[in-house]
Amino acid sequence: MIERILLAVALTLLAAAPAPAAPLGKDITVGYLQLANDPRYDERPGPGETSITPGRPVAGAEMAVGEVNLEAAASGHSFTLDKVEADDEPGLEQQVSALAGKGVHWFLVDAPSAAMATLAKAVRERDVLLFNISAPGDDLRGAACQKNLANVIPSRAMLGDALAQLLVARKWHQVLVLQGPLDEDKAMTAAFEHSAKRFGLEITAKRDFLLSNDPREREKDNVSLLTGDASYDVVFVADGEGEFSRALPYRTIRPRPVIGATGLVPTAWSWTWDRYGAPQVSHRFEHAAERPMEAADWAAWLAIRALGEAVERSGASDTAGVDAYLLGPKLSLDGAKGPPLSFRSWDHQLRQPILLATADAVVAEAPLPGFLHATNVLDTLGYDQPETQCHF
Amino acid sequence: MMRRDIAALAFLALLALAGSARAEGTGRIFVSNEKGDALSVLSAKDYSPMADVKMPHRPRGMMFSPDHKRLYVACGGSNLIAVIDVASLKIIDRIPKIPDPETFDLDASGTHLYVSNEDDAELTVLDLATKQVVGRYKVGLEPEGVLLNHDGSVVYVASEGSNLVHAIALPSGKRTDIPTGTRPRRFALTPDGKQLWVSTELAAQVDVIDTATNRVTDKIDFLPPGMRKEDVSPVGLAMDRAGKTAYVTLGRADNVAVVDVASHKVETYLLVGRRPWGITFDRDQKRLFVANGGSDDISIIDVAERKVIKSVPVGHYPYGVAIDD
Repeated sequence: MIERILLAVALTLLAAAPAPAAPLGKDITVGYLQLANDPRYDERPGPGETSITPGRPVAGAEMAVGEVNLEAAASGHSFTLDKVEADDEPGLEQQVSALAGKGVHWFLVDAPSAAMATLAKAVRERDVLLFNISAPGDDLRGAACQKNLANVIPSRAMLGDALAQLLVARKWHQVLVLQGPLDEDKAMTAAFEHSAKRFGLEITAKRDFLLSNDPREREKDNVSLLTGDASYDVVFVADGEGEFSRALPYRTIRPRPVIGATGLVPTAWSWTWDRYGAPQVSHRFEHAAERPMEAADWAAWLAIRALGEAVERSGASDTAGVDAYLLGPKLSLDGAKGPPLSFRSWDHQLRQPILLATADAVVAEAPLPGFLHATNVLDTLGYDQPETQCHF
Repeated sequence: MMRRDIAALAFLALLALAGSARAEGTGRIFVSNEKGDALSVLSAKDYSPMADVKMPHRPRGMMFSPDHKRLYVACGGSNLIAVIDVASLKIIDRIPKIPDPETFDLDASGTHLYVSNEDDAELTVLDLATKQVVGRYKVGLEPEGVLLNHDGSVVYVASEGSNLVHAIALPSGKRTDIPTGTRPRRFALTPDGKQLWVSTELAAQVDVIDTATNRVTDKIDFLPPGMRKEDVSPVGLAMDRAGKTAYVTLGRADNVAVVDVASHKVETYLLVGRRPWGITFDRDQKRLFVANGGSDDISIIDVAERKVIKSVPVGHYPYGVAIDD
């Protein structure tokens, strides 16, 4: 009997014991994962007859590796990026396993929210740390969170809260919501509805739109009908594809601004952002990648900078010590957005200002003045500790 | 009185003379307006506006030639340093092809200018007579503050994007990297040259570097009443000639910290305008002038009283102040 109890205790202890910490070498390889057929980077229609092929954020990670190596020269650390591509979700897990087998502990992952959640769940017990650089899904910071997943890119909740704060500050309380047919559009709308409720805005009407000329669908494809017969101060449009929303401003029945997917857009980064050393970061990126820096580029850049900072400042001799510093309260990261940045302990989301930008200017920076918080005003954006659905 | 004391007094008197040996100036205060593309010129007597000097894009760092006849102004947006004739307020020369200059220092003779190129991760040395680049030193990302030590044997550069201060020996160029707090910005050197102070904007501190060992030996924290640490972003630094008191502008915290140099203790905070940045003494160090980038004005501090006595509107986004009094 006693033996059995002892055995049970031993097994419990084994299960609870953290993965053995790997010693930190001088040469640090960081895995970079992306999906070969990530639809977010497909060519899509642009303005007029142009097309847009969004750039991959790996350029941001590559830029940061050069930068942290400069800073790490004094301590003798040297970072390299091992870039791998997977064809599908199971492929992502295989790539992580293969690299982890070679001693890689840190991974930047560029994948949509669903794939990110699947991967993070699959490797939750492994001695790795994943940086989410492009997936905004709220569940990655909620029910699907993992203790070894660090979210650098803002969540949809943070983006929605940033917009809601601006509307409250401007006293634009009534909102008409237009929602597209994609899952992404629905997720964007849901996040905004949550933000609207949180900040006391009124959604006076919510309508589905379609990109079509079909007269039988006129309730959904005719902008005059979509924006008529309702009272609103502002139109929120959820349109991941961008083709419908591009020509929505100035076509609304009422003279009201458009926000969300076009007009005023909440984002982690804008090439027009000109404070706190941001132009230098943007210039370096443009020089290297020959295109303007966007949100995921910034997140990839910052993930590597965060890792470099944690390696240099933690003084840790193993990966667990670096992770503890990285995800702990001492991290004071320069993201060129003003305040020092760090990860929230309750869901491993990077707390950060959100930029509210038009095509050629940053109009405001959230948190907006006057939105206060008991410990850190940045935590007025996204799910705060008492509301979190994340339990590691 | 002991003879030694008399000798000491005589030495002090000489020092005081040296400090004010320059002829009386034009009585003008120059404020560089980063986004106004102009210098605001005010009277040093009553702070009334005297002139606006239209400038190339983004004028920021300013320094006088040793004789105060010329004012050098780094114009980052136009990739040049403009030379202003202090008497006529005319731009009399432009030193072109300097990528994004922000702050710089002049050697004691006023013949060479050391400038950080924020976009190129480089410190450039210019011969002002020939306008030729005579030295280039690789530094970290986004180099900002530049300061020569008292005998010109070392130039210090703060690379805000790499969290490093570089001590570059001259003329050998041998570089020592000193890791600092997050986002190192500006410098002050104690009169004895033994301590280099550097503001670290995102760490909300000033790091004190021992110049003999090139190591950070202390960190000074700032927290004005009612503020949070993340609201505090120290940038501008001014230390008095006696090496007794230092003044630190705290950026987003809208305050200037008054620090005892010997003990590293913050003695008080002075509320100024929004986003205080550059900070400059007048000649006899009775007044301090603070450029408030966020409220388009300057605050004038009575040093003895430790009080803000006036705020004066200037151009758009004032960055720094230079005084020819």
